[in-house]
Amino acid sequence: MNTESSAPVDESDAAIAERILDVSRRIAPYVRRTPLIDSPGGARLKLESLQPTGSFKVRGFFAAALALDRTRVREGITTVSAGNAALACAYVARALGLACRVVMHESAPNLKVEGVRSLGGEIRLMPREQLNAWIGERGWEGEPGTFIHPFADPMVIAGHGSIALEVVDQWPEVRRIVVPVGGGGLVSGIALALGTTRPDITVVGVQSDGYALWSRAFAEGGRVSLQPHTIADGTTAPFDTRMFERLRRHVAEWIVVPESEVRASVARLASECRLVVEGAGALSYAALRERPAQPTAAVVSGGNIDVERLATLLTETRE
Amino acid sequence: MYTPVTRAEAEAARRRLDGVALRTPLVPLDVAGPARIHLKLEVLQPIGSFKIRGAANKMLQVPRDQLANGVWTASAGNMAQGVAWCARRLGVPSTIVVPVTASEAKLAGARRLGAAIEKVTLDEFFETFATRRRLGIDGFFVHAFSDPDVMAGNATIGLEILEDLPDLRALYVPYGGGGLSCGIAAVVRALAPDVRIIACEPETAAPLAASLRTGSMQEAAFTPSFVDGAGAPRLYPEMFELARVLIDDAVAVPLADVARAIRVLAERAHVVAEGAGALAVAAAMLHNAAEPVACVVSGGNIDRSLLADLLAAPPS
Repeated sequence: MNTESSAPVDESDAAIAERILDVSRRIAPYVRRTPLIDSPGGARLKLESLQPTGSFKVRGFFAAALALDRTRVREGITTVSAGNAALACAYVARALGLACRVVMHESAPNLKVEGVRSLGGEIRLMPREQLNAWIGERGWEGEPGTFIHPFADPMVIAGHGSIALEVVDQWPEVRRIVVPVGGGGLVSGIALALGTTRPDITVVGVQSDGYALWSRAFAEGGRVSLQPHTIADGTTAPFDTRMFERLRRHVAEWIVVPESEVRASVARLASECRLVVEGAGALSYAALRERPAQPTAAVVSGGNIDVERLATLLTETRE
Repeated sequence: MYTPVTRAEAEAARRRLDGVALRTPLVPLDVAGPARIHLKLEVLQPIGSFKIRGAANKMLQVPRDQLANGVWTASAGNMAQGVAWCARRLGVPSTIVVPVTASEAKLAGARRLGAAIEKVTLDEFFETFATRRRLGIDGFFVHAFSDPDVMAGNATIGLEILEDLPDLRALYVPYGGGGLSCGIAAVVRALAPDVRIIACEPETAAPLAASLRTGSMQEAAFTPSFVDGAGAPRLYPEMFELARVLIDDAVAVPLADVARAIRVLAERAHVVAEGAGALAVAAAMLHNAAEPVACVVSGGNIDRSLLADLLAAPPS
């Protein structure tokens, strides 16, 4: 059993930022350089929904797994997830010839649960409350395999930072990057990648009003616990003190969008942009109701939505 | 052998399209079956279809003074948006002649881009493809498929696929007017002569399949369906002459398979494809050799309620 993560979890922001370029090169053969496409509203969309497993998470999990000592990973890798991190973990394990075990919410979408199974991952399902307690007690310490924290692991954060390097390469004029926020690993990686190289770019974090965890936490100055009421199941991670500090330092601006807008945006992305996007993936698009005044990129983080649900959203939000 | 597009013309088109059309990704599709299927995602183009390539390659070569009275095309679908998009970019007006049966999703797209729409009967519509004239419209005409510059624009798709997947063995392309298949086939024939090129039509409108089978132009039964961007009531003689030389085979795909492919593309590739866009994927899913295969997912402009119906239906 390995109780450490792939790097010390309290690693400083500067240490993470410093290694993003190297990590990006290291994971490049395994992940896709996703297109940045025009959208009718004027913003450009970074299509992480086109990654293998349908979300950005493969970037972070390849970064973490490739950094592990080969002798340490003999018992495989493991994570805890609402879905996309589990899919990424299983995909990365298969690509690198490792075993994979994941703990998932009982309420995780069937598509994601089945996806992990078909990639050969072993799944343990837990009710949401029990799962959050399990995370709080560092339950993984009692499990075999090397644990990769789905959003707080420094290598995971560094891997996600590669998205920002691609966006500025694809569109040097960009001035704002709008990012959906769950646990905060994605937005932290992007902000850290830009902090030293492109401080002129504003990083905007987005959550649904059906789970505005971080805005509430900033308002109350610390830990909060909320029941999620959102289709953005990929953004319902629990409060985490380390991430609270990190997000407070690095995310310049927050937007909380009404849940109804998130639902409508999933449908608009399908009909206006030909994209199948999950709730979390549509958050950044939902935050752009008006034509942006500055060159703006929105990260479309994932596309794993049950198609029957997409059909429902297309029907209920007819324009 | 006569070719409608030389390699040099395709490469010139590619340079012309740089910064205009997207160099779309070629992504693997994870489905059961022996073939290693790759998807050329033309749905990600700014207008949601490959038509931007042909329209732009044509219009960017026309001297400005010839565009003074605007441009027009006859198109039931995606070429309307291709021409309207390029016209707006060039700052000239556009007119689209459409049959009364045209899909509202596609017309709405062209209207949003500022095009004037002129609805005509189906017979009048087909007449314009042959005469390239329409009383009362005096702008520059862009043919939706039967034009070497339009086909050279389409051929850039072939160049990109071969660059991304050099060991390609078979290529599936939807067939409507024939401009996409013949444009791509022309360069793929030249650069990779061993690649099999298979044109795909919906079972309900498959004159090419019947004609290649018998070796001469055949009429085929025509039933309109949700695959409105491919499959035609009849072949255009000049396109059939190209197709019979450039294309190895044509398959008539059952509509239920196309519907299933739309669902597979949504679930596994996270893109919305229209019927014509999913046609090649439906055909490739039956490819029974363990080798690299590519399909052109040509477009994604589908009526919202139709998409909802197709995704809500249980897989049959």
